This record gives sequence, structure tokens and C-alpha cells, in this order.
Amino acid sequence: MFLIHVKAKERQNKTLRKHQWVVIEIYFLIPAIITLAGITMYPVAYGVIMSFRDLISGKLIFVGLANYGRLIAGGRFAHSLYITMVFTIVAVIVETILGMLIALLYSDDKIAGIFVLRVLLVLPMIVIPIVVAMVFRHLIYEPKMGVLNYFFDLIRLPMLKSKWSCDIKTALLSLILIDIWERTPFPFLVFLAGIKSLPKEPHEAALIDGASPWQTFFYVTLPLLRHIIMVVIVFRAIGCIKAFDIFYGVTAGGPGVATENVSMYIYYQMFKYNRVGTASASTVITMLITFCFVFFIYKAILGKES
Amino acid sequence: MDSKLARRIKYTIRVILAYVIALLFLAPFLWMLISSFKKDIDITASPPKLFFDPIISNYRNIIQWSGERTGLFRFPVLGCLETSLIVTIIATGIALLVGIIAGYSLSRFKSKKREWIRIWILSAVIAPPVVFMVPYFMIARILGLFDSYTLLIIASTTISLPFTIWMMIGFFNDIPKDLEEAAYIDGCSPLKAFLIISLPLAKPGISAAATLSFINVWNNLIFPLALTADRVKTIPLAVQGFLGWTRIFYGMMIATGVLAIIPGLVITIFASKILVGGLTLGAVKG
Repeated sequence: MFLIHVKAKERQNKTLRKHQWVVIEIYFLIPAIITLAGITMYPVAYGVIMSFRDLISGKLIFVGLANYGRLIAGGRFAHSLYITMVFTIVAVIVETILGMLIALLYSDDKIAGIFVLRVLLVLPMIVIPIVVAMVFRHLIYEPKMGVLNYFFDLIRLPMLKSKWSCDIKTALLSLILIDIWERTPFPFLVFLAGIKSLPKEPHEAALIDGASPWQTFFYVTLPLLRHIIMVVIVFRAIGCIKAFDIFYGVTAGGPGVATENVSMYIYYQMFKYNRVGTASASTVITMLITFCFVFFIYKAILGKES
Repeated sequence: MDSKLARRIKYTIRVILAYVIALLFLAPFLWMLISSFKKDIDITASPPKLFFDPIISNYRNIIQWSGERTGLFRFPVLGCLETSLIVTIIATGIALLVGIIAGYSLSRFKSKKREWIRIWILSAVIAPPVVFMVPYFMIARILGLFDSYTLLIIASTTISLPFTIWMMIGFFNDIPKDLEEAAYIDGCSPLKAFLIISLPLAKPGISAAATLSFINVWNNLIFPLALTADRVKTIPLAVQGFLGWTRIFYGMMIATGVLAIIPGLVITIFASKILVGGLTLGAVKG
């Protein structure tokens, strides 16, 4: 009698557990799915619909693929894609290499005050991007009252003086420099953590075999950090593709269209020229590119771990 | 002896290099801090002034703003700070409420269908905010939500929620399943195991997700810029607002920027270790 009771209870427990697993599997996910559908799917779907329409004399009229045609024929969108690409590639390469070098230098605990330096180096990352833009534009790059040109005068290198963000030749470069200043702390932090968590044995073995520090770095440290480096590159690339604040704050896409990246392009089409259709169409294309990019990195890198 | 000397020189060079790099990275930041104590006339001086009479009226002007709109600049900074806090806290809160359990579910159950959900979430993490800006603007016009807290909070959730879910998946993956299984053997139900074992263990992950989505929403410029006008102003817009049509209020602009750093600064100092894992969405075990 007692045994039957226990068995019944066990069975009851089992069904309860099964029920709870279903709760975790399905019901835990439902709020997120609903919210995400509302805040991402709905706007994107709306954007897709709007990309086939255009604002003609105050009304949104169906125009078929005309918006896309105009995008492709115009060349300004392609140019903005090109600017985004140049900005991303240059910034990511410089930031990754620079971050690695600084992390190597700073990984030495013996340097006096290194712990303070490590924290200080993170500071650029936490300043609000639009503030960074304002400071660089008005206090540093400004040709007359800016610090940068004054600094080059001080160290007797006037040939390096330039109009920075106001010059069509150096505008993109000055934006890249801001991004390097602001975001190199990120690769630095991650690489520092990576270097610190490396096993000691391979390095000791290399030391015993008589490898020089550079050989140790290239043949031992780098291969061990390969995965982390990939992750950093991907995340910096994402950040650079998303960049809007410093473009908007420092050059606003100018001079001309010299620094107009995709975000600036869409913003301008929407709020400066009031071309709802073109803005939507470029949004859709950007979304598609993003999705392909995500699919690629998910399959190539991030999916493997889990 | 020689090698000792060489090592000494090498060490000195490294120390000097380390400090020079730190100085280079700090210089713009320090210049901003110094400038916030200058009069506008000292800020715009050419060549730049390193020695000047420090003033605090920039900060005082910002804080003492009484709220009337006829004064020097267009909107009260403290009000913007409040708006920023409200929007950021609610957007982060929603993301945590919904995101933690979704992250747990996605971390414990895997299938082909769920793979697509993950790709969807990752796309939302990676998509530039402008992609959402255009449709949100048009939807807001139709629904009459333009320039309202609701709209800004919903839009900000597109930044915080996908990010939080993605981070929580990573952090729950890191928690060994053995612990939960041990709990099941002891007669613990799955929900209880989640509540008393996984959730407390994920605390560092949760705080990293919370702080990072806080900073991301706090720093965001594009949604307030596109989706609000006068009533709902956040801090990045306040900074932008000191660029008047006829003159630029350099001092107050920079002082606002310095004030706005404080939340991020506090978080970074207290949580810099946690943040390394968080910054890479849990992809690197710091």
C-alpha cells in the first residue's frame, strides 16, 4: 500500500517535472519572441513595404522597384557603402594591431603603476560618443583654435598641420583617428585578459628551446590567441559598421559626401531630403547585408562554440 | 654585467613607452576635463591656453537651470538627465526581465528551429540602429507616438533586449549542467533548480549585461535624434543642443559631457573585470 503511494507520488513528480521543462523550453521564450517580433520584425516588415512606395505630392504611392532602381543608378548609396567599408577595414586593422601591441606591453606586471594605467586606458571608451565628437571637432581638430595643429607647431613639425575634419582629403582619416582613440581600449582589454589567461607551459618550453621574444610571440602567443583575435575583429567590425555618432557630430557626412557612411546616408535621405522611399529601400538593403554578414559569422565563428 | 645593464635599459624603455601611450590616450580626455573649467573665451583662444583662471560657472549654469525656455540654451540639462535615466532604466529593465529567462531557455534547449531564433537575435544585435529608425519614425507618425517616452523606450529596447538575450545565452552556457543535474537527483524540480542554482551563479553575467545595455542605451544618439522633438530630450541631445544657430556654448557643452560620463565611469571602475567578458558578448572567457 505504502509502495503504491510512493510510486504514485513519483509519477506525479515526473509529470510535474516534464511540465516544468516545457515551461522552461516554451514559456520562457515566448515573452522574448513576442517582444522581439514587435520591436524588430514589425518595423522591418513595415520598412520593406514602404520601400516599394514613395512620397508623391503628400501621399505614399506604390512605385514598384523604382526606389531600388534609383539607389543602384544613383551611386551615392554605393559610395556610402564604400566609405563604410574603408572606414571599417582601416579602423579594424589598426585597432587590432595597436590593441595587441599595447596589451603585450601592459601585460608586464612589473611596471610601476601598471594597474592604474590599465584602468586609465579604458577611459576613452566610456565617454559618450557624441561628446567625443564635439570635443574632437571643436577643441582638437578645429584648424585655428584646435590643439592638434598647435601641438605640431610646438614640436616643430608644421608640415603635419592640416585642416583635419574640414578638409576633403583628411576628413575620413580624422574620423578613423577618433575611432582608433575611442575604441582601441576594447581590443586592448580583451587581449590583455587573453594574454593573462594563457597557459605558462608553452612559453617556458619556447624559452628553454632558445626562442627570441618575437619568435615566442609569433609562434606561441599568436596561435593561442587566434580565436580571441577573430572575435575582436568581428566585434570591432560590427561597431564600425554601426558608427553614426562621430560621423554625425564631427563632419555630418561632409565635406560634400566625403564621409557619408550608410547610417549618415539613410539619415539624410529620411530627414534632410524627405525621401521616405529611398530611405526605406536603403534600409532594406542594409538589413540584407547585415543578415548575410550575421549568417556568415554565425556559421564560421560563433556557432561553433555552443 | 652588460646583459644586466641591457635588461635595465630595456625595462626603462618599456616603462616610458607604457606611460607615453597612456598619456596619448588620456590627453583628449584631460583636455576636455580642463576645458570644462574654462570660460568660453579661453576655450576658443588661439593658440590654445594651458594656463587660465579656472571657473566653475559652466557646471553651476547647468545645474541651476530653473526650467524656463527663454534663457541661454534650449533645454534644462538636469531634466535631460532625468529623461535619460528613466528611458535607460526602463529599457534595461524590460531587457533583463524578458532576456534572462529567454537566454536560459535558448541555452538549455537546442534545435534547428532555435538556431534560427538565435540568428534572428544576433541580427538584431548587429543591425545598425538606423535600420530601425526609418520605420519607427513612420509608425510613430501614424500612431501619434512621436516625441513620447513610450516610443523612445520601445526603440531603445531594440538596443538592449537582443544584446541581453545574446549575452545571457553565453553566460548560461558557461554554467556547468552537472550542478543542475545534481540538484535534480536531490529531488529539485527544473524551475526550482533554475531559481536557486543557475540564477545566482549567473549574477556576474546579469550585472555585465545590465551595465552594458545601460551604457549602450545611455550613449545612444540616433533614436532620440530621430524620434523625439521637445518633450523627451536625452543627454546626448542636450550636448548637441549647445550648438546654437548663432553661437556655440562650448563651456556648458563640455561640462554636460563630463557630467554624463559619471555613470559609465562609476560602472567601469567597479566592474572592469566583469565587463571584459560582457564586451565580447560572452565569447571570451576573461
